[in-house]
Amino acid sequence: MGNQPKILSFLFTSLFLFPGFLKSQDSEKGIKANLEEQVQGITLGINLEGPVSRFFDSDKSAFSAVTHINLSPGWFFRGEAGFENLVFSEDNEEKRNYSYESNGSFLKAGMLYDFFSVDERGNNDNIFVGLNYGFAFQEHRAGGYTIKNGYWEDFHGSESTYAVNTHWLEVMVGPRTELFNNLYMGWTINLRVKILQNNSEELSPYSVPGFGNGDNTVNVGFSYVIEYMIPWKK
Amino acid sequence: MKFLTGLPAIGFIVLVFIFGCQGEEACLSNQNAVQAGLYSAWSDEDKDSTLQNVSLVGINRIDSIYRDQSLSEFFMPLDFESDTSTFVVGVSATMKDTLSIVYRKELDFISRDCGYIFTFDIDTILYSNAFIDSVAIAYPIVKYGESAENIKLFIY
Repeated sequence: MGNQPKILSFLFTSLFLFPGFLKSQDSEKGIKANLEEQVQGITLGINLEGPVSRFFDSDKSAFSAVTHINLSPGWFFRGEAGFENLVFSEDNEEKRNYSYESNGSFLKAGMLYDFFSVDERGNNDNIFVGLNYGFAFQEHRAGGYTIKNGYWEDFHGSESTYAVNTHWLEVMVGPRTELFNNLYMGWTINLRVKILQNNSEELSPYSVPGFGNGDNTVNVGFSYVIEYMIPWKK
Repeated sequence: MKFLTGLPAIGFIVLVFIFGCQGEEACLSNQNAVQAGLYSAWSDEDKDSTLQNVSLVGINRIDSIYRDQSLSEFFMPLDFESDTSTFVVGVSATMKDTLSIVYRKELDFISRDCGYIFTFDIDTILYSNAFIDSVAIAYPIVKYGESAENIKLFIY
């Protein structure tokens, strides 16, 4: 008896999160019809991850553009291109004992699957799960660094500019909703796994454009995209 | 009523949460010191020994690293600008030994939060024999984040 509230709570949550659980045959037909009637087109939008991250790290400037292309019912191509510039502030230089500058850009491309099913004509909302490949190219340098000794003299040096390439895979999941006609807003949580990085022995990137913390092999990221769809088929 | 209409607000909260949770690494200091243990030269087995009134100073330096302390081990910071660091270790005004540590050093980038550091590889130890009988290199690497006894000083 004591478990009843828990069971009811679980059922309610399941219905909310997975509305496809209790589908009748009619609703199956409706969902299929809705999928086939889904507007096909290409979207152009911006990812607010970069501008929002500036509130938390004022040394960094980042921006990226995103596109989704509805290739067939349920399947989308996702592409993203952007840049990231980072220059340590004086506070950061003092705290970390080195100055740092990085300029770089990145590309991401992958496929998304929309597993949101709803029996409602004209509903173009999605819940995506997908896999992306990411590549970043950046030039960075440590204009000056200090190694504190504590007894003998401190050591001062510098690292000149050189290029670093990073490759990673990114699993993403998240919803997208049509706010107004052809205007979409969506967010995803992204699990990024670095698969290859060259030339980072002398100076590891503080931040890899599009990937995040340069020290980590695995990063959790986020995207918050506002985009406009140009339909080509209804 | 669309199922996903209320999600922009949730998304924004998650975004703020993810950026707000990124912490900074704590960096270690004094990671350039050779750790020396004191042992009795009279014992067949390695046996810790304690010296009274130990003073340690780098050659041509005014500040002491230790002054009149009772020690069974001590730390000797290595000079970044040289490949040899020399110290004078004494237990009284007249009983003093000179200890020179010869090493190779390599510049390493530790992490984005902690920047650069040197890693050392001890090559040779030169010493006088006022109260030091012999010196053995136990672990030649002095590296950021590692804590190991690098040399053993056997004393009379």
